[in-house]
Amino acid sequence: MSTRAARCENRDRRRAGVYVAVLSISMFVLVAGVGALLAAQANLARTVAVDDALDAQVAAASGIELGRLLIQNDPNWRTTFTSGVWRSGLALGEGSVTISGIDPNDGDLDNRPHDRLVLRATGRKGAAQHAAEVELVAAATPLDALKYGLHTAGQLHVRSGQRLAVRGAAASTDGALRNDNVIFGDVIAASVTASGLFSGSLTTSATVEPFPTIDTAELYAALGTAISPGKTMASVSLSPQSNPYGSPDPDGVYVIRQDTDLTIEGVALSGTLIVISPGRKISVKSTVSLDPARTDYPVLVIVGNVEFLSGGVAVPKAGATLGVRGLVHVRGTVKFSADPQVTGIMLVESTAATDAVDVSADVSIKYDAALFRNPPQGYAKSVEMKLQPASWRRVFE
Amino acid sequence: MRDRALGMIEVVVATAIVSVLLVAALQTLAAVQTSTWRAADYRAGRLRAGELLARIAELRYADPQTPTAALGPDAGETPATYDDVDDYAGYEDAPAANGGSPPPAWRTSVQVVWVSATALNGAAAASDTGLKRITVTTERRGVRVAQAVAIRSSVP
Repeated sequence: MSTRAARCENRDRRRAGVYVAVLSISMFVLVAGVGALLAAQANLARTVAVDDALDAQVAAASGIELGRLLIQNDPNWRTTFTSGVWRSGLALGEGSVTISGIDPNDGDLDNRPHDRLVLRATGRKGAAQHAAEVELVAAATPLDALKYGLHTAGQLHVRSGQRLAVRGAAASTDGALRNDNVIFGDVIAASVTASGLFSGSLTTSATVEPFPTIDTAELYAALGTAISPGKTMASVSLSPQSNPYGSPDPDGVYVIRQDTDLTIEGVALSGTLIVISPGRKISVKSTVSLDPARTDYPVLVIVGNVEFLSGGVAVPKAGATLGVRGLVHVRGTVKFSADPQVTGIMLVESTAATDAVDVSADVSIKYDAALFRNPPQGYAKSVEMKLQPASWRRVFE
Repeated sequence: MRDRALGMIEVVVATAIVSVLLVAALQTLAAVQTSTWRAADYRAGRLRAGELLARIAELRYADPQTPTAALGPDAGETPATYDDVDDYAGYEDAPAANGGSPPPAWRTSVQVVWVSATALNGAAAASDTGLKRITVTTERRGVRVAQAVAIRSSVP
């Protein structure tokens, strides 16, 4: 009996052992199989993810290409677009691209025609995202009028007994030249009523040199700080740090908008002065010291008729360079009753057939070619946005 | 007889379990192998497409001699002398074209079309829009495994 019981027990143990062995092998194979399958799927997913990342990168590069084309094709792109997203989720292949344009200076694309632009494109595919950006800088083609030391749309009149000297470039008029005495330098004129004496050449040309097509006075007025000096602005110092009429403007742009005549004397300006007084007389009395604070801004933009006179009060700023340096743009007539000692360029928009520029003193203008090479904002006939070398970079959003 | 180690039922049950397990294991193996092959094909295809796309993207937007010519290689140009993006329009990296390399199973083709700036995936434009869409497709045994798409503009 005991022998039989022992045999039964042995048999049961063997059966259980077989089951356990089969189940163990089953579990092992199952776990190994599922593990291998999961590993293979993860491998495939990783491959797809890498592929998506590459496609997102290509989409971002394509977005930069598209952004640059949008700028090139639209001369008014600064008003068409605002600083921010220009195109969102534009489908490309199996991914998409979003394009943004940002003005890094002040977030306003439209306020200055030469502002830099940061162009950013974000490519997406699946879960992958790649953002890249480049910087575009303005390459301005200057107005042809900036080739001259003095240029006017109307008559250039050098009165008897007076002299005009323009050094470094010619004087030019789209109207008539009336030279009743002497001009030192070259002159280009549409017509000549009196040629007088010349130290240089006189060329007759009917080519009209255009003035800015945009209202530069309003352009800078929108950027500047309004001041109200009344009828006389005397013995004051204006600069990015100093404004006796209120808060200083960071770029030193000050705007006078009034419907009265104005006398400027004894003024030391390191910045840009905008005077908007159409039809009014703006008297600038020696001595003054006017220098632009920014090389890409003019020094003086006047809507009105200007006369340069002597007999003003002394310049209040010790050590200041006397005279006017930079671009002077007058939308009116100019009369020189004294020499303002301009180093730069004078543009006089008056088309008056008589005395658009009236030289009633010995006047010397020294041309500054830097203003042609890098024209102040608003004084270009076209502005191309060019890729800043080495500005391409990846960004992480 | 009563002292046998395993009964018929035990043997049948164990064989059934092992059989099911074997089938499942083989299926898993096949799936793993397929997935591995797919990943490998995907990688290889994407690499081919990406390399060719990068080569094309380095070229000029238009031919310097005939900038207004139709899309496609100019007369006398060969892949070795392609000098602008659209020379690759219709290009096929067929085995016959390059002596059996890449392997015959692979085929890379290129499509270059003008597209509108508002619909990059849209239909091809009839004339130059200033934008060219370059699509490089890689196929293995007639099945598309990868595609890379880029845009090139006329801005220098």
